[in-house]
Amino acid sequence: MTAVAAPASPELRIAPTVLNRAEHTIEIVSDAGEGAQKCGQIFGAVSAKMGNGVWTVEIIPAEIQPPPRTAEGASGNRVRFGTGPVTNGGDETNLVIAFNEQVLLGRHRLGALASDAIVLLENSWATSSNPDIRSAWDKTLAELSTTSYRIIEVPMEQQCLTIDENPRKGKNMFALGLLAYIYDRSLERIDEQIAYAFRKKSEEVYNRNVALMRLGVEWAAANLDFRIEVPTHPPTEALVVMNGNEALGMGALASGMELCAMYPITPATSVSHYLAEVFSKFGGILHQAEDEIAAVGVAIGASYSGKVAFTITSGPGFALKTEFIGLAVITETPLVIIDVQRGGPSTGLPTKVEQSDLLAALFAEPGDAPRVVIAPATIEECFHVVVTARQIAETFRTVVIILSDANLSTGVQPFPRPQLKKEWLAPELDLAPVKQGQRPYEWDARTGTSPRSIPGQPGGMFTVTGLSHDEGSKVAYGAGVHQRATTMRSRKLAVLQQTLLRPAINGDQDGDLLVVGWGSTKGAIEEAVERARAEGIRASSVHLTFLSPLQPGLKEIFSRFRKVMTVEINYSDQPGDPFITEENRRRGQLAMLLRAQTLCDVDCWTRVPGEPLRPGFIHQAIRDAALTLTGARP
Amino acid sequence: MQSDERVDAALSALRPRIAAFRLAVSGAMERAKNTLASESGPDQARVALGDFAARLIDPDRFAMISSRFGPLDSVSLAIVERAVKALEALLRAGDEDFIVDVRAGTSAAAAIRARMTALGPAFAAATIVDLVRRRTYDPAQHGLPLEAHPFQKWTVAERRLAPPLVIRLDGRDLDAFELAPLIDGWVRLVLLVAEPCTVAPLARLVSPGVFVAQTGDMKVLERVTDFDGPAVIAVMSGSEARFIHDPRAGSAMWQRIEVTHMPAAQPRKSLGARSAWQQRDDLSHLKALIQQPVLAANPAEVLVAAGSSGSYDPAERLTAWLLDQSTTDGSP
Repeated sequence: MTAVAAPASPELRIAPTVLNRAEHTIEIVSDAGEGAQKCGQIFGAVSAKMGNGVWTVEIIPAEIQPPPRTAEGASGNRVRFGTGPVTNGGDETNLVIAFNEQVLLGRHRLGALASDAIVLLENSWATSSNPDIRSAWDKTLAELSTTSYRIIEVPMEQQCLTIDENPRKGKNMFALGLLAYIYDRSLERIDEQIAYAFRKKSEEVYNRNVALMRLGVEWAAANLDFRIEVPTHPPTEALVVMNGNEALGMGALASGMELCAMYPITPATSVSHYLAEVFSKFGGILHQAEDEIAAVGVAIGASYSGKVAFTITSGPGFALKTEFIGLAVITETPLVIIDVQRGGPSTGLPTKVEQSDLLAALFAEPGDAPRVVIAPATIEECFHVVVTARQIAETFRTVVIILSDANLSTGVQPFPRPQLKKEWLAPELDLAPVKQGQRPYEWDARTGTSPRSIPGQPGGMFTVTGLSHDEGSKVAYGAGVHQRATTMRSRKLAVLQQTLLRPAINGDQDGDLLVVGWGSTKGAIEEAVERARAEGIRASSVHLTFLSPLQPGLKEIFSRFRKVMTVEINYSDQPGDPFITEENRRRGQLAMLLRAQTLCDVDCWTRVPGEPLRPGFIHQAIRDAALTLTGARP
Repeated sequence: MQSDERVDAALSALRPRIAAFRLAVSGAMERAKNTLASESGPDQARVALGDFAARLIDPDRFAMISSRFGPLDSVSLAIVERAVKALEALLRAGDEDFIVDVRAGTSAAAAIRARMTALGPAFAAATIVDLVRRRTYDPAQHGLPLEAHPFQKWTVAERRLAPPLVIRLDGRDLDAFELAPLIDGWVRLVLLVAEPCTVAPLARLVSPGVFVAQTGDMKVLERVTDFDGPAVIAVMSGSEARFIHDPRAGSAMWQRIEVTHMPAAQPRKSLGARSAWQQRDDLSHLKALIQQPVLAANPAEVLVAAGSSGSYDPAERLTAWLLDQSTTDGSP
């Protein structure tokens, strides 16, 4: 551990050492409410706009306002940025700005920091009038003294008080200034980003934040003996920078959605925050219902009447919507449901990532209720997936569930500006008279599809029912009718599956180990596979986008590898744990699905750490799996 | 002919109905173009499915599923293409297409019918496109003309979308009986009448569901903006009767009709095809329409007056009358 000495006088100061890095990962951590997240978001956005690949991960405590100065209460942002594309949050942090020593300790104990991490630590706590705080400071620095971190004490509060009398305000902008100096970020772009971040505040607020940021730059220039260069490549095409929830919201606009019915739930709510600002400008309606059940009911009603509607939720809300989802299935009402997954069960980990809703999305329904389930893997895909989901929902008169997660929802990534197309929008309602004799469920015996009647369409009037019904929507409990109707609803998924393409394999087309993932883990898995391949391990990966129906050819692809292993952010029993046997072991959710559908012996490596899977951990799991193929025990 | 200011004011008041008609035309054109576009099959599916589907879904196979019907035949394709052209021509139409100038001495109704026939292809095109989309178009059965589609063939829904018209005409040529068959749906006819004119030419059009007005005030036109029914308004500048019949104003005729001016003198000369007697009868008709029914202050008095008793006591007279009406004396 190294502490910085008092700053040299200007005439004695030597030029800072410039460290060149292809990529770097930083964290800004504070108590909740001190603005560290905003600092990271602005830094990430500016870096992306300057031409770095970027992926950000929010560090969010599970509680809205945890006690201050606790190791568990760290709140902030991790920004991984590099000269090339960045597809995930990475492994360890190279530079940390910590607003107190306790949140730093929390990150240290989680193993989040690289062994040679540079730490810029607020040092006002060292001289606190509270002896307990001084004692905690001393103990923490003693614990950290055994590490190789380079800790630089920074008088953040002392500096910020020269501009803002509230010591809890302004440190985040001061920290942003430190980062701007260290990484040579454009101050003009930062000014613009501050203006955007505080667009709803007064000019005085903007000016104060800019002044604090520039104070940080000046302090860093006067006191730091290093700078870090992560070269940028100014983009050659127009890029947009946003998080996954904003991308979902924009995708909803681009796909011609007309109504979003929702009830607030973390981490899905910010989609509706975004839509609340812009949806009405495009003729859309954002409806906040009285609860989750009402929200999906409104969406189904709107869709039934001819509107293009969707609902958005997270795990606990999805559970509440179950019965109405069944209604949409049996009435064959097109419906798009976005589930931004979080840790569960119950209210679980509201702010933390998990991929535990897969089986619920696929099967959580009494009776047979086939539905389409799609999982975007990147923030760019969060935008485009809505267009495809709407088309499928309307073509097949079915429910389409989009499984995003808390990693995508809050992560920020630049991607090419979408070229919007008119064809993505919903076509105008066809209210031409219904063909004479055409019934509301005129199932095509081959495909299960049927033309849709809209209320108001001449000749299209019928009584819609959640009861078992025949082609004319007449309630019918006969065995033959129910069998036929259930077959037709299921047939649609088989037909959709026939239109799907085989998944692409990342790496060699055959080998020892095939890693299978879904959703937001794509970047981390592919990076881990690349590392393993560089070590000579014959590993490849496949990332599944369609979970229901599954993309074709999986069994044949699996047969080309000696071992198939899913990597997922959900729970599985660990082999070797007490009482766990091959027979009773509960496996990862995708692994269960793939075993059932392909009859292949699909293994799994899953974790539920409440944070995105690090490529380094996956890499180690691949090494271990490869070892088992040699007969060795990992 | 009237000044352009009156035309402008009339068009301004009718603007919502013009917009509704144009919206219907553009909607029909959109459907027609979508119909043609959907014929491009996989290309259409590829674009509509979005970038996300590019490496996931085979657009050829998806197009086969998503198209509920087979490809269009050449006859259907040709008729949709013609419909698109007809609709594009109508969309290019300016305000002048909603103005009808009636040549002096000719039939105003005939001129209005001709303009409706010219604008009618919008409806014919929309109908054809919908039939084609449903693959039920039969040239022999549904040979709707895309060049001319007369009002008498418009459906109920089409009459509710009827284009509003501003008609400049000579008062001599205003014949309510000729106009009557055109009063339906949401038809809006604003007649800018040049003098001389008969005293109550529109009185014969007054009926429970029709907004009818003879007025000198252009603001009356604003009252029909959201009126759910047909409306005929004559804008006049002479000494003719001034009245407004607004079906929303009450359940009885006298409640719905408001007369603000009645000519002092009875017509004595024929004008155009209308004799003096006919004009006087128009006026009498209007007066009859505004006549309120006379009710006695005390209905019992009416009954008493009908009684046969010689008593002056109203109660006794009423009793006597009631007994008189009964059959207690054994008579049938």
